[in-house]
Amino acid sequence: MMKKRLLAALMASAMMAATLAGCGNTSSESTTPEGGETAETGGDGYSMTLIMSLRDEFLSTLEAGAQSAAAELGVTLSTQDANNDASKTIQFIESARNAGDDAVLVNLVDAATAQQCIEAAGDMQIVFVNRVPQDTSVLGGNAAAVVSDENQSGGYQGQFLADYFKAKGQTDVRYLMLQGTLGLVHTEQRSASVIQGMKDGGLNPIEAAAPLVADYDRAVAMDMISPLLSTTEFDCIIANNDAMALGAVEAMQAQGMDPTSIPIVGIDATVDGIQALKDGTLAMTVFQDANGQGYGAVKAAVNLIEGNPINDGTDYETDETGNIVWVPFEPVTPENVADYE
Amino acid sequence: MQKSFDKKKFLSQNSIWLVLIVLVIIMSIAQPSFFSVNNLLTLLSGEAVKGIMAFGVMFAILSKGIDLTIGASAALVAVITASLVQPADYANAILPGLGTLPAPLVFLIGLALGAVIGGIYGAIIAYTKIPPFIATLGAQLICRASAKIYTNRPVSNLSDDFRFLGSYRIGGVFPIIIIVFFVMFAISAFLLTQTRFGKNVYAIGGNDQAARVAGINVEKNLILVYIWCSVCAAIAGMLLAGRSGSADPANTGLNYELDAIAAATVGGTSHTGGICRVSGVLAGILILGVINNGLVMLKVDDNMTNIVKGLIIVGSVVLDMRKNAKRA
Amino acid sequence: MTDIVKEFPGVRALKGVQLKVRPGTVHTLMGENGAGKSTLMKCLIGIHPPTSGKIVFEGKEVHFKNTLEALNSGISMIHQELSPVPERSVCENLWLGRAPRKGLIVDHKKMRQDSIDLFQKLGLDVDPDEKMGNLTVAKMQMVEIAKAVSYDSRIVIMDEPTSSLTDAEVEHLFRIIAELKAKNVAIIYISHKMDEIFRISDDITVYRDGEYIASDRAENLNVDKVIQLMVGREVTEMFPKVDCPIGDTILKVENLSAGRAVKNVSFELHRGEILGMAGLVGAGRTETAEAIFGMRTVTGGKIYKDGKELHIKSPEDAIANKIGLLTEDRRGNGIVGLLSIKDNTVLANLKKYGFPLNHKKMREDTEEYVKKLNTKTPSIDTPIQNLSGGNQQKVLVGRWLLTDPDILIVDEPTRGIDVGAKSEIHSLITKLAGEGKAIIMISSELPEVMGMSDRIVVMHEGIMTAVVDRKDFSSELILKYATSDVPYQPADGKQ
Repeated sequence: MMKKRLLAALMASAMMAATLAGCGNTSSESTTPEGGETAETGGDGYSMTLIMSLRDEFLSTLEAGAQSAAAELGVTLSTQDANNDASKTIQFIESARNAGDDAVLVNLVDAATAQQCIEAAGDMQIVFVNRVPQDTSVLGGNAAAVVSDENQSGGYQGQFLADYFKAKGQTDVRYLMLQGTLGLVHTEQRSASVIQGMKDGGLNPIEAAAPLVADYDRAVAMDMISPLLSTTEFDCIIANNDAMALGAVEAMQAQGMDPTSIPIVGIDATVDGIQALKDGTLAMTVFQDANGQGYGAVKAAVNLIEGNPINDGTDYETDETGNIVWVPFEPVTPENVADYE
Repeated sequence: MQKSFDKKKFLSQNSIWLVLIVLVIIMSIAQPSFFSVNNLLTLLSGEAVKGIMAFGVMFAILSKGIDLTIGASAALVAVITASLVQPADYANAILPGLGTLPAPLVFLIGLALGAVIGGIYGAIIAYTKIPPFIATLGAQLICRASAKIYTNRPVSNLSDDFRFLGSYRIGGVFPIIIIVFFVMFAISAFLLTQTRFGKNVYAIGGNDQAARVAGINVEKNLILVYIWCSVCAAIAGMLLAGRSGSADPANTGLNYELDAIAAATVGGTSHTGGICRVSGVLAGILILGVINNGLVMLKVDDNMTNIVKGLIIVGSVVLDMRKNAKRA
Repeated sequence: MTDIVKEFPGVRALKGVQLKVRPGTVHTLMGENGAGKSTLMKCLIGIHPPTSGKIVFEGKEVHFKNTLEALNSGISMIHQELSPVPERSVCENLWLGRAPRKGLIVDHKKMRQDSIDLFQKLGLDVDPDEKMGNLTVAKMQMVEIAKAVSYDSRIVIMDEPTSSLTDAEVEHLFRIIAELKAKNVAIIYISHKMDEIFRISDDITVYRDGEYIASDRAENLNVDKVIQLMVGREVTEMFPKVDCPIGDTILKVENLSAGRAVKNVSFELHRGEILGMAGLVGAGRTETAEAIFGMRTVTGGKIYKDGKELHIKSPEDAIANKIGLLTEDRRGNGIVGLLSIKDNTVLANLKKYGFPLNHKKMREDTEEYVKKLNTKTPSIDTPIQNLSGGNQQKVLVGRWLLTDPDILIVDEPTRGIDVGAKSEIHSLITKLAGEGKAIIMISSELPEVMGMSDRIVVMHEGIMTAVVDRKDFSSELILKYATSDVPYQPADGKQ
């Protein structure tokens, strides 16, 4: 009696799983690569898995870009979320290989683990998307990266601030900085390049307080910056992404301060970020082309499989090694915000 | 009469293995490459770390306690040990100038560290009698924060010797981490069934007052339980670092305690104490592994995977409680 | 109730038994532990619906699926082991789950007044605002009885209601029973105390091993006849006291104190001696035993064994010094219910089995004691909670014998145990004394403690009021000391 029920319950959930799998599965089975290597197929019938570090708005946009490229090229694409767990990423890569995928698109949790991912991928093609491996020398062969040059994003922020303060005739600028998760290459690059950009624009940037590490999180940023708002003197707030910039906006509003009184700059041009820009609470952001990264990553994977240059069929440029595709950043200000809605 | 009764009992005690077999069959039919040698090795090596944690936490649950610290203590041990095996000339080294210590020594340091961490919160639980849930929740926060204080960035570029147990594959195929997992299974089974410690923990979980009257030093045994939990976590942490080649203070082992508790629970370990079969826990680990891996192979959306996992965890406890209620 | 069959996994607990209860009478169920009395009652009130058979209540066939249904139909049960909510007041326990309400809000005032009225009607002296956990076991029992009365039940089942009551309290209970009878309420009474049973019963039904044996009017039966029916054989001796030589002093307790429960208790115990401890509820006998055994902090005095002073801080120390304690609260701190007979037997003696544990030896030892103590169990791997109280007690006795103690303290060793097992435990204790072991036996049953002991220590509210030699034993004398406030003064040179 009890046994039967136990079985039934588990059967049910397993069946449910199998049914749910049905949609993705039927197509992948019928399209398992047989002549996958022949270039003539033009991408038709490849199977790939996109493994993201932790699903958020940006990565969801990236996924959508990848899906549209996949649809265009006849690639079967599924997505997994590693929940910020580097070892899970490797697990997913191995599973994808065992399931007979042709390529994996990996959004690294930890840039230092690229080598392990490449090993786990075995003879599959592997494309790192959005986050560049810490050591780019591991790329080449069946590994490539499709990313944006993070020095560019901070550079745009610095350039904007330089123009803003020069117009006011101010050169000494005290800034508060909200940093993303430490240890990530792009956190360091964004943080360093914005300061460099301000200097290049003729400003003298001064730390109003030590940089705050808010892990790219809106709520964390809000909590961390709140106590500083009334106790420090600052001329602007720099954030490594829009979410943290919006956290700063919230914090100021919560204390009755006017966020439009000083420039707050972010990166990513998320939907919320664009809205804030229109409201004037955010002074500028930098558009990271999530859709383009996802699109470019699928393209690059197909190019790897077929032995073409990885940027074949796109407008993007590669670095000098030919292993990294650069998807450009674009500065977004109230003047051009309409283009990004 | 006697014979058929035994068969019934055998089935009821091993129904979980039946469930596992049915799941494997379903998965294999839905996706034939699921049942390939390569994929089964992937599955086992993926569950090994959580499994080892489950072998630890089942002792805590058996003693009518719980251990929420293990994910965080794994991270703390992982970052500390990892920092001892970075090359001296590596620019991002946490302890520049120290160089690479020999891996066996670092492993011993890791185990000792685990034992000390578990000993501390174990003693707090045993002597202050505060609920283990609270004590280990506090210890979790402290361990995680300590790891972040120790280093604010992932520790990578680890020596191959240190990474051996986590990432080496015999003949390039068979991951050695699976052997570590089964060795830990054997040790746990031995502790549980062949030593006084195991019998004591069963008695404490079943009726701590009776255990005390029977001359069992309840405090000492509870401390040992949490030391064991924490040592398992330390091993898990070092394997995690070895497997991925990096120890991340913020994310290594994050929420692993929940997966470990889930595996022990699905495996029939009762949260009211006193009931635990190590073979059941092994099956619990494998069931969750089959679901994790199988649904990925079937390209099921990860949110759906979690829904299925959630249903199975809750369902297994409902069934277990009904089984136990019927027996009483 | 006719042809009731109840099967548990692997056990056929009831094999088609009968029971017919007339309104306005006291109907006593008798049988050894495991005979099926409690199980039958659980079938009646819906805890375990019967596997087959018919229950007819007031002319209608009923199938109660849970106790609430039974309660609402007028059948209530006072369980042997009480299950109050200790942190809540008496009042709230009394009206648990059915508190009078005004709209959505509990009407505390009415609840309190109803409690007071009820207690007055029953002549109970209980403060409705007291925390349940602070009451004595006897008072808790009275509250349970009041609760049953408050349901206006047609049938009240009492499972061993007097096992922890003093004589005065028992009298009180009997008065309440008489009143209930007068109101045409039927009482189903389960007890092992013969004198009580013959005093209050109208009908008696006897069961043995899950089978119906006989049912008759009480006046047609007598003690011997009932025992014969219950055991299926004649029990010749209830207290098989054998005089054996008393040896040297093995344990000497000097001015032992433990908080407020034990004050300046002094006595000596000799090899081969059975030292009884008598007293009313709250006399501090159990607490004295716990203090000796390291379960309770000793706040004063000294304990010597074989002339050497002992410093016992835990039961572990006590066992190492070859002292054993069979506790009063079998379920609370005796058995580990989920574990098997085997695991329970070896629990206090695991050190003996080495590393890794010698499972074969564990099985052999368990088998030996199961056989020696005549424990009835399907197998030594059966969880102990599936056994009857008497058999559980035998396993616990086996546990202590396995540690080979010099001194064995037994606290209410036969409480809630049927006549057959009781007599077996008595002969066992006597035999142990004969082997030169020293026994301290705490019992609230005067005939038992007088029948078994060489000397009796009498206590009252933590102080020791007398040590009585066997030749001077009489119920009157012991009761006199059990209520005396004068501490014992040993004659010079005697103690």
